Amino acid sequence: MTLASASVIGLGLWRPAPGAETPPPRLPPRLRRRASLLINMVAEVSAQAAEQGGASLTTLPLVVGSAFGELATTMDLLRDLEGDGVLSPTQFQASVHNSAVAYLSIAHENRVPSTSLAAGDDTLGVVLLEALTLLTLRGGRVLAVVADEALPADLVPRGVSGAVAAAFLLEAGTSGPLAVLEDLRAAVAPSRPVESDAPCASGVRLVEAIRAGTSARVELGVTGASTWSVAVRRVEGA
Amino acid sequence: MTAAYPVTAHAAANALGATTREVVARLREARSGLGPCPLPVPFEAPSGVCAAPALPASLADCDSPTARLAVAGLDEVRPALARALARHGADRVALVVGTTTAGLARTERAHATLRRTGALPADYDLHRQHSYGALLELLRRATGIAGPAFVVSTACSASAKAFGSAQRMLDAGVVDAVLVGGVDALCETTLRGFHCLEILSAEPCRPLSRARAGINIGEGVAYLLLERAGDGPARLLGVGESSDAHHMSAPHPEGAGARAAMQAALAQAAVAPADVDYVNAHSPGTRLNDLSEALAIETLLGRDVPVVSTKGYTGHLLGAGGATEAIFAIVAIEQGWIPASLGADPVDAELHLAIPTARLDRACRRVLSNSFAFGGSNVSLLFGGPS
Repeated sequence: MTLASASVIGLGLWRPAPGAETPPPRLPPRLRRRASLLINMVAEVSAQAAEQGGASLTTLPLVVGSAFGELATTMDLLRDLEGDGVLSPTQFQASVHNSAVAYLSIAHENRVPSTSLAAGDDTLGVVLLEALTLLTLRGGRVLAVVADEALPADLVPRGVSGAVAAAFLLEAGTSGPLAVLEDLRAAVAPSRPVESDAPCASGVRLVEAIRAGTSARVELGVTGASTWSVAVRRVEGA
Repeated sequence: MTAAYPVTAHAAANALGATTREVVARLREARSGLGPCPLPVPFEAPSGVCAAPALPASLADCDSPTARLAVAGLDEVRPALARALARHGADRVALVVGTTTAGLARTERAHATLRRTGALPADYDLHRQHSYGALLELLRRATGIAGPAFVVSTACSASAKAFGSAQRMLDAGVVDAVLVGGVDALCETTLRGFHCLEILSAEPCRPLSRARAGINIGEGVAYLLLERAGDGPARLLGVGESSDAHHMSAPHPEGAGARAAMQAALAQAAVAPADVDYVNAHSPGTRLNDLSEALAIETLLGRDVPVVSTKGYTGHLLGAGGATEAIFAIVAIEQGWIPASLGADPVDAELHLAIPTARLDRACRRVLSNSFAFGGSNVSLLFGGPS
């Protein structure tokens, strides 16, 4: 690929922990009350990354990836469907995949173009592709986020991984300070195993690789089902 | 400025027909495709129904109503896609698909079975039939595309947004061709959801008319093949995107985001507002949307450019809408006619726009197609002739 390298200037990471099953409040109360875990996770990691990088969520383009989107909210709608058949208008309009992007945009009066993507195990790979493409063509900064809730036990009875969200605030150039991302690759895979239960957990691996402060090529899938990878390069003296 | 990318193949199937030829013929004759709703909902909901054959046995593990539409829609683009794969290499061809529901129609039935019997159907698999990744894997297997593949899911602007991602990948040299698609199947969740929002019409929808009473939902599929170079009836000249930052389900009252999107599409292609010959409006059939979009069009393009909503033919196609209406824009350029804005008569006098209630036969060189969505995701696509 012919994409520019990008400096990582901020990171965000959130997973539920004992005593902290939901992220800290980041959205204004009128939005937070009705927000799903996915929306609140995206708000939390976005805020972490923006704070670390000294950027404003009012002007950043947002590229948000989620393999399954608002599946928990959709499950609530399915239960209503089989109950009295009357759906909650608020839940219905928040069941779209781009709810997290929309809530962030509304909360921060962010009017720049943003997008909401999904690609199974390749979700982190294509989110970085979209983000690096924007930086290559337009420069500036882009906030790349991946997040997924735990899959509903109703639909995936074998037991599932937990919720996870990660954010990467990227800037055109190679000055760091945290690391430089370069040489994003997607090898051709003629056949693929079925997608994993928590594709966006690979975001954790990338955050940890950047925080480790060494140079390495990082696989962007979780179970080998994704062929995407990116080189993380340490910035000397940063 | 971006380069202009030729659309070297296109195909649409929806309530107007199972082939592009049928779809375009009925659009030209101003015949609606809307009919009774096939799903068990306890209210009147005229809908755009699109029949699709069963999947071939090799893909049967991915079966869902959306999957059937997605595969059926490929037939007409297969020859051009095969040429593109051979010319550029399979890893230099990308796939970007807009959808809102992916396999939800399948999951609705599986979940109902679970409630009734205590177990999911034996052949139900969320990872093969429901998820966005499942749709991509199905299409990779069905097409041989081996480049980047992803779903854009920004509600009703999804397959219009897909053109933005496609154009950027071509601009940056990531790939040499992109199959842009949009697909959504009718779901009870979407019908009942729009009903609970009190914007679903019990009559065939009448966008831009003072007699409007809300929207209808339709299902369908559309594909357009964009290439770095090649022959086709039209080229993608510009993609303008914006966010309203206003409300989850209501558009900005003055249409600020809609106007910004159209302006950005024109600026990207250095086309003047006066050079737009036709606007395919988003206009799904609600007063709020019509007033907001009309203000945006009037203040940017004036009152004389023909403005049409095609939702009266197909219903609102949700994730398939942007790509389908991109094809309607291309047909206007290729064949020199603007469809009647079906159901718009009597036109809403609050809208200071030129809304044709009968077909206009006239040359179109530059056409804008608008798609707006929940969450304030706005896209305007600008198409022009071959050169």
